[in-house]
Amino acid sequence: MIHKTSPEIGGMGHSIKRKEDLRFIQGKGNYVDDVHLPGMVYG
Amino acid sequence: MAKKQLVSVKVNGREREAAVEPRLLLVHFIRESLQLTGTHIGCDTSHCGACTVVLNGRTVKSCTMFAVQADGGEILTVEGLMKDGQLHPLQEGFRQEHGLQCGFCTPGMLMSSYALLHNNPNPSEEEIRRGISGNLCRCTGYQNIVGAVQYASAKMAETKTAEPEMAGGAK
Repeated sequence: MIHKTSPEIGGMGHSIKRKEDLRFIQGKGNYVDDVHLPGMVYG
Repeated sequence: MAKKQLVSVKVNGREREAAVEPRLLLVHFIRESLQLTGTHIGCDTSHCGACTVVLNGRTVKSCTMFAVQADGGEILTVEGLMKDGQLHPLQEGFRQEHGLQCGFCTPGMLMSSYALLHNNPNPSEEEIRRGISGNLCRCTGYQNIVGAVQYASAKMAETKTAEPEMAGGAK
């Protein structure tokens, strides 16, 4: 018998959706170059 | 400081304009003047492709072009890929097939693949690899990115979501 949970439950034998991907594929990542702070200078 | 010039472009379907120095690069115009930070600066030398956008139907590396050169044109960036709140099949593919890790190269990869699939809706693996050859990925590797483009290609054929007109301007 193969021990596998249902897709709804996930867990063993299932890949996990990465939380961060949704923002990265929409251009909504917040990388260091995207950060703007008051009085920040660029060098 | 040089005299500023007015640059008007249609970005992701919206008319935008700003007065900029003639030496301002297109990528800085997009990221700073328009505040669309999805387009990244990776190398500033047009090697890495992180800054790739679609301009008038063709991919350009926006770090190697002046904003004034794009005046009057039409631009599509990663922020314009979603339609009616739905992810583009390519965005879905990158997520499903684990086509990203840190995500830095992803916007450029998406725009290059977008143009590739528009010109060739059913590319072979080799054609995909050639299509994204101007974009560097330094973490996931290319295998899953190729898988993501194949996913999108299949999905677009199935649902016929390929737009007759290419967003980001006609060729």
